[in-house]
Amino acid sequence: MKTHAWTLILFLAALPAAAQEPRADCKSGETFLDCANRLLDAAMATATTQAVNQKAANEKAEIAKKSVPESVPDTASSLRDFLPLFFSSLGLGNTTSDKDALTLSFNPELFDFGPANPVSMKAVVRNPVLFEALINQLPEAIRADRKSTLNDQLKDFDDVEYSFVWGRQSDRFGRAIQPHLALIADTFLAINKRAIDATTSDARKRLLNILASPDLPPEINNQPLDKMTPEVQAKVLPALDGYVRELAARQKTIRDLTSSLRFFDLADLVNNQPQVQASVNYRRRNDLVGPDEQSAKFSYEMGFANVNGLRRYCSNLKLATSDPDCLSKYLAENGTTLTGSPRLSVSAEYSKVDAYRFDLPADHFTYSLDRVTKKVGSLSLGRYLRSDDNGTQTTRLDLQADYEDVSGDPKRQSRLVAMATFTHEMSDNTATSFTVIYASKPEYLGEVDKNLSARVGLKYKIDKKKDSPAN
Amino acid sequence: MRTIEMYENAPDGSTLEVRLTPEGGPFTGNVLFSTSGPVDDVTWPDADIRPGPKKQPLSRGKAYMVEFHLAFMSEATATIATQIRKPNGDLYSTPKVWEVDGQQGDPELRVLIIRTEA
Repeated sequence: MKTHAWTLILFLAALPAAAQEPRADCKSGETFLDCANRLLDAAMATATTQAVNQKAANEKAEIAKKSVPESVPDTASSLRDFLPLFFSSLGLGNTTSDKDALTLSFNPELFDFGPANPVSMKAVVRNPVLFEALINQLPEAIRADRKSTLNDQLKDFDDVEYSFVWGRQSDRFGRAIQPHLALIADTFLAINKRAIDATTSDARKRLLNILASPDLPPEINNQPLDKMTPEVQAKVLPALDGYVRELAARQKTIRDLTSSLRFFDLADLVNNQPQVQASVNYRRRNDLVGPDEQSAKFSYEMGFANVNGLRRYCSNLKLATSDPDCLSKYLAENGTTLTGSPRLSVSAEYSKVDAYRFDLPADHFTYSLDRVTKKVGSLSLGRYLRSDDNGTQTTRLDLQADYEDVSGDPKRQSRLVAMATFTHEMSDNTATSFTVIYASKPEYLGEVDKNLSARVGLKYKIDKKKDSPAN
Repeated sequence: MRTIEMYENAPDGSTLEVRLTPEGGPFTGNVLFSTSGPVDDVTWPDADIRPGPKKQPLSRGKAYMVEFHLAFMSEATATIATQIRKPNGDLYSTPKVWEVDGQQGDPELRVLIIRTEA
């Protein structure tokens, strides 16, 4: 019933264009296609203007960026000449290098965990550098000499870091659009069917029947229309004009419907999907370079109006998720949430630096370090609170709590720091921020502008953005 | 390539092939396919044409319209490739290929008209 009502409304809206008398205005010398394309361009001019406006509006809308951090920063320039060639020729992946490191990015297809479990693995071969803490502990009298000797002992692969990152990409997790293309396709198809129902006239069939008529030359597009017989012109031109008008009306209706039903906001819902990621790092070093290190990190991030929410909402209404009306209702009910782009992020990290010992028996020198473990937990929640008249989001609230426990470092043991930050962007490209900080122990409070108590402080600042016209 | 393109004099018994690529691109597309005479219009969903090919036999003395409707969810280039294969498997004329650039919020339209031999 609702679909019929829509159809009627759209048909009535499109009626003025479709009901106009066909007007043949092909220009002298134009072929059938020349004329068809020019007429269509003219008929769609209004729709094109709307498209430009829509694009400008979209640019204003803030879309949280897909955050799939790379585990290892990219590098560039060459360190080992043969390895990239060897690595690439075996189809293992690609390499990038700079003066400090060579990065080998393994081909993801080598680890076939399925499309829902994309992984990346990298090995970074760093240019080995002597362990600075070790060198500084050498007696000054022998330091320069030993440094030179030890430096000569360094080899190409004395400092290599391996990293492995896994993320989940499915219709429930991850922000890749591919798992949602079927939903997007079905929703757009439903919108198109409404537009077709609303704009279809007899013009298309009329033109097709004329083009199929044996009375027409086999090829009408190889000569100007005005060179054809008056009978052919009298048939083709009005039908072409009518069809082009129908086509333009349909395209305008599709554009209007995608806008009113907020079809393109589906991309924002995808971008708010929960994201799960886990990574493991192992850095193997020669004793001359430093101790070995291992770390593992798990993170989860989500927005609150997302495709999962849409699916649940439509299921409760007993509507198909691809029903444009369901999308529209969901977005209407969660519009504030989508505008505010709230984000929840949780992460946990564990890292370990191995115990370290280095001896120079001849110099009666020993340098050792205890094993250090580090546990970090982080929870953050942020959202925009308001927008200006242009729709640009201006005021933001971020809450963040970090817990850190580092063995062997009294300043970082069982440390809890929580912050609430208000940020307001002003029209002159200036951002002001105001932060309330709580620390579990006074020594963790850090530098603040004002102490409210031993454990609570305030920080405030005004930032002038670099690209500010005022600068 | 213009918005509307055309094949004429396509051989009887030939086959229209339609492809939309790349397969995982951030866009969707579908087709409204119309035939002259008392034949109902049909819709080809995204899954039929991407990656395709969607094959449609063509008959003598007919005209066809293939309306492509695309929607882009983010900046991308969609390729619509159409060709007609003669009954013996050879290509008829040259393929019509649209490279359609789009950004989020862009519905795009392309049309192929086909006339077959009388």
